[in-house]
Amino acid sequence: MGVIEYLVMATLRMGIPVALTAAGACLSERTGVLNIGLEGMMSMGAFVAVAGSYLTGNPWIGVLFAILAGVAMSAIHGFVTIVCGGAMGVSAQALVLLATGFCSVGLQLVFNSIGVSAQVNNISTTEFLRPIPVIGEYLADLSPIVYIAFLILFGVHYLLYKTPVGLRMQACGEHPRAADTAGVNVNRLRFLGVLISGALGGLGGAFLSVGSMNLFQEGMIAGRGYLAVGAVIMGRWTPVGAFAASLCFGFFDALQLYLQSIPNAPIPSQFVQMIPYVASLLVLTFTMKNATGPAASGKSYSTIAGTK
Amino acid sequence: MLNSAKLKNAGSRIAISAIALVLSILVGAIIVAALGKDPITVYSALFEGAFGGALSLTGTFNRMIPIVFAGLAIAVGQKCSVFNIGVDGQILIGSLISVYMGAFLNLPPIIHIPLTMVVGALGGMLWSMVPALLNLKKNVSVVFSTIMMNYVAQYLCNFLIQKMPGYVSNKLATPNIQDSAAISNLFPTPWGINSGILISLLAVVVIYIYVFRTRAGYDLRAAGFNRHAARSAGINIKKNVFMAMMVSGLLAGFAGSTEVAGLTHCLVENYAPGYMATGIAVAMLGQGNPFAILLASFLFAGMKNGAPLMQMKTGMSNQFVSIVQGLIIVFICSENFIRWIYIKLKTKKKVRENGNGSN
Amino acid sequence: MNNENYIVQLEHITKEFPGGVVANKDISLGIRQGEIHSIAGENGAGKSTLMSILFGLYPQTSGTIKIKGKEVRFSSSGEAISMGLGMVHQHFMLIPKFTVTQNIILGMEPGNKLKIDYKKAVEEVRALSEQYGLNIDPEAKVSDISVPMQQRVEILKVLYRRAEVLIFDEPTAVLTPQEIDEFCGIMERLREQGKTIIFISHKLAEVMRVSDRISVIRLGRLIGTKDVKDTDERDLAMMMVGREIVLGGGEHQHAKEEKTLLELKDISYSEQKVGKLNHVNLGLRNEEILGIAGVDGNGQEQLVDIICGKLKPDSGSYTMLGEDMRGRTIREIKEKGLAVIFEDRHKDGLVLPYSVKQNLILGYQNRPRFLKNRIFINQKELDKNAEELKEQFDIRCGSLDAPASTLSGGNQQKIILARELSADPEVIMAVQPTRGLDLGAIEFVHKKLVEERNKGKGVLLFSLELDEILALADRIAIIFKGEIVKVVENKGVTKEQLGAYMLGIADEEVAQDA
Repeated sequence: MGVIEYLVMATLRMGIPVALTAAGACLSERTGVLNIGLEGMMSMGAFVAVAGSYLTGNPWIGVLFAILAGVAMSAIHGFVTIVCGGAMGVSAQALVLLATGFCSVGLQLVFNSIGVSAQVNNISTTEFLRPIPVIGEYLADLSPIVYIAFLILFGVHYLLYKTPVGLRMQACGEHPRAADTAGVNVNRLRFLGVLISGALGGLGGAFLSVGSMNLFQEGMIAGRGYLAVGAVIMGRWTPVGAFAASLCFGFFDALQLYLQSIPNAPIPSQFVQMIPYVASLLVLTFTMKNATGPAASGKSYSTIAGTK
Repeated sequence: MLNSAKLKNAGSRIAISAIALVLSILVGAIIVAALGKDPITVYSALFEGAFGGALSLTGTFNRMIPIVFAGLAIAVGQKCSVFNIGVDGQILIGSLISVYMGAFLNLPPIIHIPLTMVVGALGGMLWSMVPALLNLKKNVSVVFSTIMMNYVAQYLCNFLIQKMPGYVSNKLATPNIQDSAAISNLFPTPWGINSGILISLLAVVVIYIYVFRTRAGYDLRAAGFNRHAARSAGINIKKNVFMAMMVSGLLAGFAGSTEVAGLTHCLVENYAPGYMATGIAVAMLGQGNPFAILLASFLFAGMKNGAPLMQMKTGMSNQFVSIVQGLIIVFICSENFIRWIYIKLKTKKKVRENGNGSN
Repeated sequence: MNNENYIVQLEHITKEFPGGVVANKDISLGIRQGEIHSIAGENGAGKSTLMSILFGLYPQTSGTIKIKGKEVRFSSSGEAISMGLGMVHQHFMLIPKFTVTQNIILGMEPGNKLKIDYKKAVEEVRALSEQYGLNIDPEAKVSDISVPMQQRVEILKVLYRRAEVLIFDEPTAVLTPQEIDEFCGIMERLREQGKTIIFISHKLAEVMRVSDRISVIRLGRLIGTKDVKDTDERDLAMMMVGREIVLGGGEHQHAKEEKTLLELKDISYSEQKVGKLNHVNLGLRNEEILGIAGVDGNGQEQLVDIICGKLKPDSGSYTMLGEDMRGRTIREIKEKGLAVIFEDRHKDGLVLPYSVKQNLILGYQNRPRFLKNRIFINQKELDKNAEELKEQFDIRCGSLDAPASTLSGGNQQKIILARELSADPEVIMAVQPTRGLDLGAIEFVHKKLVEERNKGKGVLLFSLELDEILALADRIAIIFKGEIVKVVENKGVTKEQLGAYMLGIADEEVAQDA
């Protein structure tokens, strides 16, 4: 396979999990809830997908479980931040910690091992596309989740900009009090946003474990959940922008993989591995001008906390 | 200075932490039961491994040292409303720099020890300065940049460790620091508690005084509570945020350098003890008070120390401790809810009493 | 209460908040269909609470509400809206990034669950705007339109939801006298179309002007409901406060030796290419109160920020006590002798989680008195300072160690006044210093400012209440579109004249109107 084909495929494989998570994060942030803990939801998603595939033999069931796991985790985050008015950044770190814990405990429980799971059935190819001339080979070598991701992107975009629910969600993120007086149930919509971000985060994690590989390894998410948050900022809080920025990060990731595969590369492998993180930091630094998110993002609107 | 208003406030804050702790233990017990094990056995094994006997206690005290520093690092940042989640990376860099100082210099201990520790700590501070500057000059979110720096630190350290002269390949570690740079234990075995604990105690006192008794601390907290009012009062917000990051990074650096100087004496590749996550947990449980953080650190160090024994005796994964940590943070974050329930119960009681009275 | 055509009936409404505050005590009143009914009372009297209960924002502790004779209990504003109630809030509930139409249809979007029919929405908004003569561009972004325009969008929001009863919460707080005229015209048109209006206000002149009946609330209780022809401003004021109130500054003296304390020459400032201040010239003398009058948004905010040092002007000179202040930090300007009482006490004046004691040195914690060995806070002096100021300024609080958030608005403002005035400044800049305060607290603030003036200090008073400026100022400067268009002595100038200057009308025309 040529370099370009490799890079394109790898970009999609590395970028789509981030993109899915970023689309969800974007929605959540637009309604006003910061979800920096998506790293944890991706981890849970990745593990649960593998565990599900292992226990039932069907990777799609695993994916379903992963989505549910993401929803469950984000429900905790939602409760703590929306209902109780807790700090969104801290709650997120708690979730990452819980996820690490659950994944480890789960690994022991299900696979009786530490660090790595057994290999499972996966969905890393979309066979029915193979007959297509010219690009069929490449299209088929991508997990169906890639195509689902593009559909989801369209769905999130449509939801946010064309539907009444989307308009109300935006209002919740800009001026929750105004939305409240217009009869909008702010906290319910915020919850919806968080749950969707959890679902998409879980799906993104599942992609990494059963969509492009066939096992779960501790630490395999490697900060991609955080990159998703950065992608939202870079994409100026639009779903399409966040998706595109995520694919950018995916490209850096792909580049890193490619460089590692070259024997006797002049750059030490550790520096190559740093590329996605340094690159995203640099990109964000130089595109930070005039980056203003939803006005009420990060601020709780809770009766209990008195911030209503 | 002690009066009823202050006591009442302290009382309710202690109550919140205590309730959060109890709830986490309960939920943890439910999880243990769900996994088919007996919670009491699991928790006793944990307790035994943490506090049961000289060796266990010693281990706990030693584990406390970096956790106290990490907790202080997070707490200082939080006082100025900065969430420094780059502590892991700052600890790594601090450890690395102190190894350089400790392994490759030959100096009398009276100079070598402080040099190793302080320069190591400065390394941590340097690592926190990058996100601090990016935030100051380019308005880049601290939360995002610190996390990226953590990953960069990991890979950078791996690289530098491998390239270090004297690299020990079968340990995947740096060479040990010289004896002249090491800090000894306070008592002979089995009470081999490292003298680093004294340094961490000193740090607790110094930070308490800095944050709560100095004018600089007054400015810091004012800036953390209300940026607008602080600015209107002539306090320089940018300077205070930067200071908070620097002090936070310095403390994180000390976590690394005291651990290297006292306990590990070297640095291994892919070292990821997760002190930051524990630091967040103790900072929250201690609600930002350095002395409370000290107590909380003792508790968490105990949990970490007892986990291997728990795993050995009951088969419960030692990552279970991470779950309990996470739960504690979740419950503290929900403190408003706990307060709300408390008030509801109190008013219900009042209504019932009044009802009975009028009959 | 007999049901003589009452569209809204409040019966024995009591509201107690957690913490023991009883905001409404057994209030019973009826609103007749088609009338304009004002609810008057001081800030903190309980009128906003009553209306919030009516509008479903929170429930009453006891009592009943009847709409058109039917008993209702709202659990959200959505329910109140569906029963025909609508509220135009004092602080606009508009989303700046949205268009006018989006703001209006939010929560009631035409189309179906899957797609908003924006075309229909725009048409409907346009039609409604024409019906009531409101002149609004449906596609404009709210952040781009003027304040009176925004208020009309608020009104349209309420009409779009087919409100029968419109509740206006302090609507004239943000309008000039001329705009108030227009507003009264809108209220007339609404009444003609059969709407019922509840008008919440503490501005008695306007209340007298528009109402059919007026209910006065004081300290949570209904004092009485009167027909407009049976009462007047003085009567209402007495009902509101329970005693005679004299607002104002007392005698206006003239300084023995005049010196200029603060001077702005040719100050210009623009933000993102929009000019905010345009060659401002202003001079504050000793022993005077200089009032700055103007409609909100004409540059006052930027002027305040430049004077205290938060902003640097693009050009021009700024001197205080003879020294150049351009480019100095906020702290330096403060230490030179400027004390500021900011408009938003919660945002700029206090650190709410800090105790009363700690707030009493905020901004002055660098003074040698409060420091020990230049690094540590001198706790003893802190305590002493707090005791002294509590005495002098009559600050009512449970304990000086309690967080400032537990004090009432009036007492919070006293903390700020005590702190700033006891620091013995040369220049005092007071921005909307009586906003949200009850009459008693307003009296206190005015008294203190006049005391400072009499001591020889210079007071720069920014206020949106013309009554306040006319009562206190020695000279009045009017700001319009970022320029000081006129400075007059406060001798016989009228509100209408000031209003005209505030709208940029030139001298000759103003003289003709007077």
